[in-house]
Amino acid sequence: MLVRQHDPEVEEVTILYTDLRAFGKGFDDFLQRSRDEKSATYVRGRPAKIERVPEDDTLEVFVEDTLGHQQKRIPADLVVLSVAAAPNDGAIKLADILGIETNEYGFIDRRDPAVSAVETVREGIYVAGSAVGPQVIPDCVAQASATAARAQLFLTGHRVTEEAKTVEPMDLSGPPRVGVMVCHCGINIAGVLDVEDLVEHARTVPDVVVAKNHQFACSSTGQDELVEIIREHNLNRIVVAACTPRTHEPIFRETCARIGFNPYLLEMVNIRDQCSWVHARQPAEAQVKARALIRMGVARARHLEPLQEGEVPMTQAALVIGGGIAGIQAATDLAAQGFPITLVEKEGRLGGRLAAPNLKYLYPNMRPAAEVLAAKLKRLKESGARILLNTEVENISGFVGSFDVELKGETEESLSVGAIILATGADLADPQGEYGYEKLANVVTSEQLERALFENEDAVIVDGRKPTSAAFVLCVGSRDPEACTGCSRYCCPTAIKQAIHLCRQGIDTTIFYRDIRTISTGAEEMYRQARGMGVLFVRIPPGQKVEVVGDGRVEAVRCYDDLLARRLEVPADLVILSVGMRARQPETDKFHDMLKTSVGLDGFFLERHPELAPVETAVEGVFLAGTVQGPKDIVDSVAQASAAAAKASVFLAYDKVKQDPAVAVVDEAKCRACGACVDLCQFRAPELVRTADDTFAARVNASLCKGCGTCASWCPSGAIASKHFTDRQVHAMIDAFFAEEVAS
Amino acid sequence: MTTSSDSPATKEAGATLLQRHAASAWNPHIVVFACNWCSYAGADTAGVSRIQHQPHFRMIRVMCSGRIQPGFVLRAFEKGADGVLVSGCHFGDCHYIFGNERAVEQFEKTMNVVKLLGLEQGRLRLEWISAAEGVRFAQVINEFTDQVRELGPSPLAIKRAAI
Repeated sequence: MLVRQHDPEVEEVTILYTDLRAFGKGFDDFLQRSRDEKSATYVRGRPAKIERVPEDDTLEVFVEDTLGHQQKRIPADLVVLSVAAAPNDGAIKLADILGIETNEYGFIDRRDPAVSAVETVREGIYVAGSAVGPQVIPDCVAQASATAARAQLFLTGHRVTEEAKTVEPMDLSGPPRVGVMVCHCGINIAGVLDVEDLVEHARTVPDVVVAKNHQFACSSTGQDELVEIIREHNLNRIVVAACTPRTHEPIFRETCARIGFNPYLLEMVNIRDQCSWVHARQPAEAQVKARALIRMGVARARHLEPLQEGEVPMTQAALVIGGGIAGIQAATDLAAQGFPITLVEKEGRLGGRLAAPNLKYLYPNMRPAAEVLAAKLKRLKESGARILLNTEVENISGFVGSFDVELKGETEESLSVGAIILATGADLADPQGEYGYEKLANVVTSEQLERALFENEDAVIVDGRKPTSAAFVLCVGSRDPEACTGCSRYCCPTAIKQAIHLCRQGIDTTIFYRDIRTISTGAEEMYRQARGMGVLFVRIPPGQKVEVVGDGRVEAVRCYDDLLARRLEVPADLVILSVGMRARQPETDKFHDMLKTSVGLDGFFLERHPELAPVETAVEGVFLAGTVQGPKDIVDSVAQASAAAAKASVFLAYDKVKQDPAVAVVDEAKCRACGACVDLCQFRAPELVRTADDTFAARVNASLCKGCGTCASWCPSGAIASKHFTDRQVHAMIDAFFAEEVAS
Repeated sequence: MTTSSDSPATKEAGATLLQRHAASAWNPHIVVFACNWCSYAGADTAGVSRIQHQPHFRMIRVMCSGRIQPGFVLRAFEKGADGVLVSGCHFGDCHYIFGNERAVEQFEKTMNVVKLLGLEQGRLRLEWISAAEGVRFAQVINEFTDQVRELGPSPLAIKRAAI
């Protein structure tokens, strides 16, 4: 897709693959879009050879298309090798120095691949990211935060008292002197927009005294240069034309604060996410838009006012909702640091899916789930977390620092907490009668098979009989574009784990799959082992389903084998549906209503940013742990839970939380004391007070005001200003849009 | 808007805009007001997913759609906007609980004034877009842009061109 975006003249892009492992959240959608937009042709096959064509100095790739069943010669000007992730050269040496172990490939070993998210074999040494094996960025970031949570366990009692501000505020008074920095963001912006032209244009805008460009404005050199131009040109307003303020404004504000430049005199202009990325096919129009956006940003900046951040008290306690493995881990990590933690679980027992009889053994090392859970529960008990079973959250109100929670169940109480971790888990998809489920007695879900293992591990019995042949159907309720569901991640390794188990009992086992996505540590090895044992893998084309044949009981499974290119009928007296994960209901709707945390199209809670903030939500003080954010297995849930704990402790370590000063302010001279704002506000921020000259006027309590600005738009006398989004600032943006363009 | 629409200068400048419209060489000027938490985030989602859409709009971010007062929309039309899109969170999603419900009331008031001014109702639209709805954001922008393109230059923009 990027190749086409940056070079529209490229005629053909071909991707050679074996399995399309688009396992991350939203990855399948991405793959689908690439197909819909015909950005690449996907060919299943490995290249046999790549040859140079001497006539025109191009290349030719020889490949057998294993789905189209023909040999192909693909002409190419460029061949890109997607190389495997390999351990660092120094990994083994480093492991040696640290006294930790590496695996057969040279990656660092986790203590227990089934459950240790970040632990090495040695206490006190933790590992994150691709040092343990290939990883995607969201998982790396979650693991990195999880290592922080582990390290915090050794820093118990650590609390931060805000040191007195030593930075002298800069004198920023006087008429606006605006500096503009336009970011290239590598080729993200500069690949579409002419950055030099934008800089030139910025120089022509009123009050701009300096305009510069930078490869990466958010890098440390970019930040340093920003500081430099502020000082050199005595700037009192800064405009950064780069990406979205929703992710990067905090970074630039921090830099401003560091040198005593009031952070509220910074304006960000979004020329990446909302311009170069979405108008790449119309670069000329995109350029016009980017120029206008910069004019509008400068216009707003000219009217920005310095604001002082307030503080509200932080209740240094947290609530963890859900007592599955993620909730247990998050509660343990926080409570062990000495924070008062309440863990609520609606059921009468802890452990969620890990608890008997849901899971018998964990892949990849067949670790007994009961053993893992017992160890986790022991740690939880030692941590001092308060555990409330058979208890549900009735209501939550308030904001970061002071959430008011009403609990109902064995204990009915009101609780005040500073932060909340959502760990309510996920549901498994209901096959809804498909594949003969609930009609044919020997069609079960992967969960039901796991339960059967509890009853008789050595000779699995389903519906009173010992099966002789078994068929697994993968992706039941997963990877369905209609339902917006992606890959559920855990099902491929789980099916292989269960298949190995059945195969050992002499049961002929076949796995019907679309792509095998053995992405977790040790799963690829399990896949190899299963094939070695004789488990058959049959690839079914996307959009097609296997047909389950039988009367009362399954007798066989029919389907089209994509690799053999013919229809098959495989005898089966047990069919296992590997069901995917779905957002848990009604919990998701309930907490969405209470907390206003966004929900994605797949129904799961939406993280603040997939890479930058995978466990945070857009609502400050609310964090996500485990499958509440999307399908994942035990070890990934544990990593995410620890990450959520680490992120929550960033707030809990302080006794105060910063308050956004962008609130509503009443001009008492203009106020007629009609009380419209008092009736309107959901947060009871405005109230009518007696003024000095013995009349009445509204006054807004800044610590209650959330800064939505609705009262400012509602006020019939125009007496309320919504700070940082004033009428004047918005009007200036509108005017600047049309200042130059309308005549053209 | 003191210039009479009958003055020769206005007629000429207006005629230019209309000619360009007829020759399909005209692109509308659209202002989009978006709330920080949902619709602006939805536009970012479209960006992260590289969902291409028409580039003739400019976004103005406020914290809540409840902040979008009639004066903002009317000023946009006065300055020459051919269309204005007001957007916010779906009902029940508002970060400030009921801000978007106030936005509806403000929008209705605004629409009444837009009608009084003799502008087509199709030039003003209200849409709810969530942070996850990048595809929907792009669709809304494309649909609205086409709709405004169909309507042609705003009568107020034609007048303004002559000033």
